[in-house]
Amino acid sequence: MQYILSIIFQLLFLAPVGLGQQLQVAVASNFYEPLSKLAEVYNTEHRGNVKLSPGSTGKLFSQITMGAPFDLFFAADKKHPQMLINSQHAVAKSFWVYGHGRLVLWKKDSRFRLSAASISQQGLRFAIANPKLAPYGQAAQEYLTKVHLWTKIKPFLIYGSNIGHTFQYAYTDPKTLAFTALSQMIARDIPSHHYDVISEEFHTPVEQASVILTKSRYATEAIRFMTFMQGKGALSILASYGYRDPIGRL
Amino acid sequence: MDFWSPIYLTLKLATVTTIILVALGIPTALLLSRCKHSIRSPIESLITLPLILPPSVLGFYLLIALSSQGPLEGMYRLFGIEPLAFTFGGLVLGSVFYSLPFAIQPMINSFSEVGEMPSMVGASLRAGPLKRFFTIHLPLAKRGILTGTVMAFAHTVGEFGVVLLIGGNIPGQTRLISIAIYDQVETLNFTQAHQLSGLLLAFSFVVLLAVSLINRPGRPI
Repeated sequence: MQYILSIIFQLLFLAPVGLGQQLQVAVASNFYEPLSKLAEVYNTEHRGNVKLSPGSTGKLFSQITMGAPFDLFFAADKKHPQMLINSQHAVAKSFWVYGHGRLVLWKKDSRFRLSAASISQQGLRFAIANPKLAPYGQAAQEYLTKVHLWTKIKPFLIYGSNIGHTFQYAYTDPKTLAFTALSQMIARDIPSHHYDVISEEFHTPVEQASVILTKSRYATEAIRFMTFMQGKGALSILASYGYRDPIGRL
Repeated sequence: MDFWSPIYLTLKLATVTTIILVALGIPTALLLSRCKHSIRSPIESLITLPLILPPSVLGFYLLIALSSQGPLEGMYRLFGIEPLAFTFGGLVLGSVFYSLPFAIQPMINSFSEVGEMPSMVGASLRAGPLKRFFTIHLPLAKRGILTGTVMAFAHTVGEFGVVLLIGGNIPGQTRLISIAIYDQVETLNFTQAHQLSGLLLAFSFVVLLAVSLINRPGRPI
C-alpha cells in the first residue's frame, strides 16, 4: 500500500526533470514536417528544447487569443500573425515572412487532368482544407473559382480542418485526390509526376509569417531560435522543402 | 515526439480527477440517496448531464468560462488568477465535470440499496454520525464506491472532446494519450498511433473486467 501511495505521490508532485527553457511552438500543419526537422537540428546542435503543436492556422489563432501558452506561432499566412500583433498578442518587431508555400493537387495518377468532365467521372473525391480555417483551403477555393470549376467540384469535396487532414484523407483512400501543400509532397517523397503545382496566377500567394508571442516566458530563447531559423543552415532546409529559393530568398 | 509524456500526463490527470471525485462524490451520493425532497431529481439530472451532452458542448462552455477572453475575465483579473484554459488545472476541472456521473451514479445506487435500516440500528446502539459513516455506510456501499472510483479513473483516461477544446494539444502540459493519438494519425505517424491505441484498448478491457469482478453477485470483496 505504501509503495502504491509513494508512486501516486511521485506522479502528482514531481514534474519531469530537465524541461529547462522549453519553447512551445504553434505551427500550421503544412509547416509541421519542415519545422520538426528544424527543431530537431536546433535541439541537438544548439541545445534547445522546442516542442511543436500542429493545427490549422485559424484554430491555433483562436487558441492564442484565448490565452494558450505558446511562445511562437508559425502561421500559414500573413493575416493571422498581423491580427495577433494588432490585438497585442504578438510582438510587432518579430514579424517575419519565413516562407512562400505552394499549392498542389495531389492527383496520384500522372495522366489525370482536372476539368469539368474528369471531376465527376470515376467516382473521385477531392479533399480540401476548410477555406475558413486554412489558407491553403482558401487558395484552393480561389484557384477553383478562377478556373470556373468551383460549383462543379463542390459536390465531390470533402473538407479537412487543416492541410494535414487533407493529406491524410488522400493518403488512406486511393479514390481521393487532395489540394495540399508542396512541402508535404516533398516531406513524404511523393514522386513529382503524381502532383501538379498550381500556378500562382490563380490564387493569392500563400506567404507564411511567424511571430513571437507577448505571453512567452522565454523571450530570449525565442529570439535565439528565430535567429537560428534565419541562419544559412535553416534557410537551406526551408529551401529543400520548397518554401524559398535555393539562395534563401522568398 | 516523446512517447511517455502523454502517458504520464494522462495518469496524473486521471489520478487527480479521481481523488477529487471520490472526495466530492461520497458525501454527495450519501446525501442524495437519503434525500426525499423534490429537489433530488433536478440535482441528479444536473449531475447526469455530462453523460448526455456532447463533449464539445461541455468543452465549449468551459472554454468560454476559463479563457482569458471570456465573461469571467474581469473576475480573474480582480483576484489575480491565471485563467485555466490550456493548462493542466483546466483539464482537471473539465475532467471532474465530465466524469462526474460515472463516479456518483454507482455510489448513489449502492447507498440506496443499503437503505437506512443498518444506520438506524447503529444509532440505536449509540453510534454517532461519524462513526456510522465510517463503520456502516462506507463498508456496506463499498461495491458502488469502488465501481465509481474505477469508472471515474477510466472515463477520464478515455476523454477526448472536452480536453481537445480546453487543452489545446500542448506537449507535456495538455497533450493526453487520446490527443496524442489524434495528432499521430493526423501527421501519419501510424506506428505510434498503433502503440498508444493498443495500450488504451488493453487498459479499457482490464477496467471493464475489474468492474465486472467487483460487481459479481455473491462474491465478497
